[in-house]
Amino acid sequence: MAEITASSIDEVLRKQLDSLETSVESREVGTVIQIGDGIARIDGLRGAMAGELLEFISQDGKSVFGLAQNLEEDEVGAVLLGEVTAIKENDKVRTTGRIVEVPAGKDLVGRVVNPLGMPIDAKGPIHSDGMRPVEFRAPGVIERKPVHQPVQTGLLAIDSMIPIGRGQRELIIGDRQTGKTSIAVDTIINQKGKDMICVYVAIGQKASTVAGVVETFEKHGAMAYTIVVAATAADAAPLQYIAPMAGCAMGEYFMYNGEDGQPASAENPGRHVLCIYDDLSKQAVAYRQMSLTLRRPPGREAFPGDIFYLHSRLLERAVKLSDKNGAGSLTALPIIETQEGDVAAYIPTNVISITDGQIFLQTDLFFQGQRPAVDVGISVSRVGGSAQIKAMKQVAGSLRLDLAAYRELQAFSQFGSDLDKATVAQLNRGACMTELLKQGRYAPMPVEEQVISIFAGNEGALDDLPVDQVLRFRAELLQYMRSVKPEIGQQIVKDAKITDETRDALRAAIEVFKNQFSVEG
Amino acid sequence: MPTDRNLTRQEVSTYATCLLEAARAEDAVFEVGTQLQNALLIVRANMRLRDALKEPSIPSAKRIEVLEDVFGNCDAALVEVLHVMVERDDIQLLSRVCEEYGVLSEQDLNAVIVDVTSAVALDDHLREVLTTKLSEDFGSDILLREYVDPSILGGIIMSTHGERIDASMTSQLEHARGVLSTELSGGDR
Repeated sequence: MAEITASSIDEVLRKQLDSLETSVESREVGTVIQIGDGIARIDGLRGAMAGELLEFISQDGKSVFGLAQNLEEDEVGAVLLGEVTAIKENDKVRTTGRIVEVPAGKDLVGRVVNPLGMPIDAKGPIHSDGMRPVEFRAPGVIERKPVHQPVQTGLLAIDSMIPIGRGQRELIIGDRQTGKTSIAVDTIINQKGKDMICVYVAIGQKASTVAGVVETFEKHGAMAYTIVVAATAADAAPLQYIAPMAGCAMGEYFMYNGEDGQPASAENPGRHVLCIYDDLSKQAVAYRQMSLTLRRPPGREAFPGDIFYLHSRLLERAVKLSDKNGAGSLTALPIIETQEGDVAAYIPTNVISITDGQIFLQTDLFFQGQRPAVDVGISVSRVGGSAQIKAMKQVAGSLRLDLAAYRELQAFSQFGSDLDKATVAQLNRGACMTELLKQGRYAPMPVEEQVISIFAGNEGALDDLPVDQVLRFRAELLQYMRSVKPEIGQQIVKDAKITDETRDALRAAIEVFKNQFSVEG
Repeated sequence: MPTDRNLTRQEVSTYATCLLEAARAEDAVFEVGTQLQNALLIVRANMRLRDALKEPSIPSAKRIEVLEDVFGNCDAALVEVLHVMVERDDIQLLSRVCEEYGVLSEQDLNAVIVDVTSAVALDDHLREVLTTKLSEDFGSDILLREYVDPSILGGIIMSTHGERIDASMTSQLEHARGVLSTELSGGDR
């Protein structure tokens, strides 16, 4: 450690004072007419821009930032982002000529920050590489290319039937306590070693819940590539409102810049980013509160008229960039909480229509023990199929239809007792495949193991097993494949498809394992 | 309450013009402007006063009584205009009337009015220097509206037409505090 002397302190002070500019410039100034509920009405500021960052100066010289929202004929309505109580009527307000920006850079990775990018994890200051605006124009058509690479969630039910691609927007929707956050957390945990920067944005959640998520990330080594942006329930509505945009801006830094921090290009590829907004219902509620206190006219469910635009412009920033622009991607997984399964409410329908598919989680399935409680019948992925690896397409291509047929048959079979042999076999296969899709928390599965599991089910290896033995069979089969036949999994990863040789080897290995597997109980 | 913007604009203009004509008759255009500005600051800073003057359930006679108590010492023309505004429930237009009066009075006086805040009262020399410099900048005569605020410690704050030049000691110190707390030296990284 360097020795600290009086002269070194003097030198540092002088250096810092050198950067002190004493020039005085003319700034446009307004006056606070009224303040309350975190909203200020300002007289003057004729040149203020919509969304501009405003600087409020209190009587005792304290400076608080705000966001210009309503530009009216004779006043400006603004929301305050900081210490609301410091500002009083007649205080001065200055325009800054900037819109809200957050720090961005590699130093943010592994940190927990508030929506303004300030650290809240007691790990010291963050030295950002630069600032990025929270509101940023989404790339146009020419700058993009179709989604073609997968984001592996590590969840069998999702990767096999509702695949997500890099650059896609896939909604996770369900009632409270159905495992929405668990899917998001599992997906982040599964990104280890997959060159993906993850941004988890917690909006309006309890601070203790966020602390729990962060602890889970740390436990599984996921904080090494994750940024957590937390606007807890205790934070002001404007902070909850900008949180997803701030998280997106922090993620965009990695997509638009290469590993060296220089702008991404064909020679300097951009990174891949996964943004999770947990959840946008609470952001919508925060925005509703802001809008109502700003006296904007309420619309359906008292949400303001531009709530659709708020979400669409946020989710439109999810992108797969063209090769010329570095081929980086930003995948968005917004979460929406429904009330009593009502997906026809205003915010759920909006976000469903914006996103490229949705993962529906059902309370009934959750309590039946089907976890993750994904309702594969109504969950879809509109573009992810092209991002699925061929091996997965080969084994899971008909899985969704098979399960749909099983559910239909199951509903009918409840009314009669006499079933023909083929129907019984189909029911049995369906029950086994449904059981096969069950998966524990924080236990993501590599894609080759997912392929092997579904392959075994398709080949009928599970048909003669009692349903309660399916998960044990799957676990032991995968253990067997890892220890005795690791080359098969490696081959699947290498070829990204199941060749005839691999198929034969896989069949033989499953046959051998099946013979040594004993049914318990 | 739905309002017609053109009507409101005309109302504001009428209040400001009437006040200007009355002030001109008394040869006190600048002084009335200063009093109007102070009245606006008082109304804004006191929520209870503002609410009392705006509250329709309070009889207008009572509201005028309150007005008399607070602004009784001001110019008679100004008090009269405030009376009418309170009677007609137009007190919320005070800030726009103040602005309009500022524009009209500058035209009338053929000068730019600049608010100057200093920690101690300006002396004649400084007043002269400021007037000459501002006159060059604006290409017009200058009238200084002077305020003394010891809390700015030193330096000067000038504002006109919504623009503000803050060369006060407090803001310079605040700026220095910001720079010192955010600038990094090599060893900090």
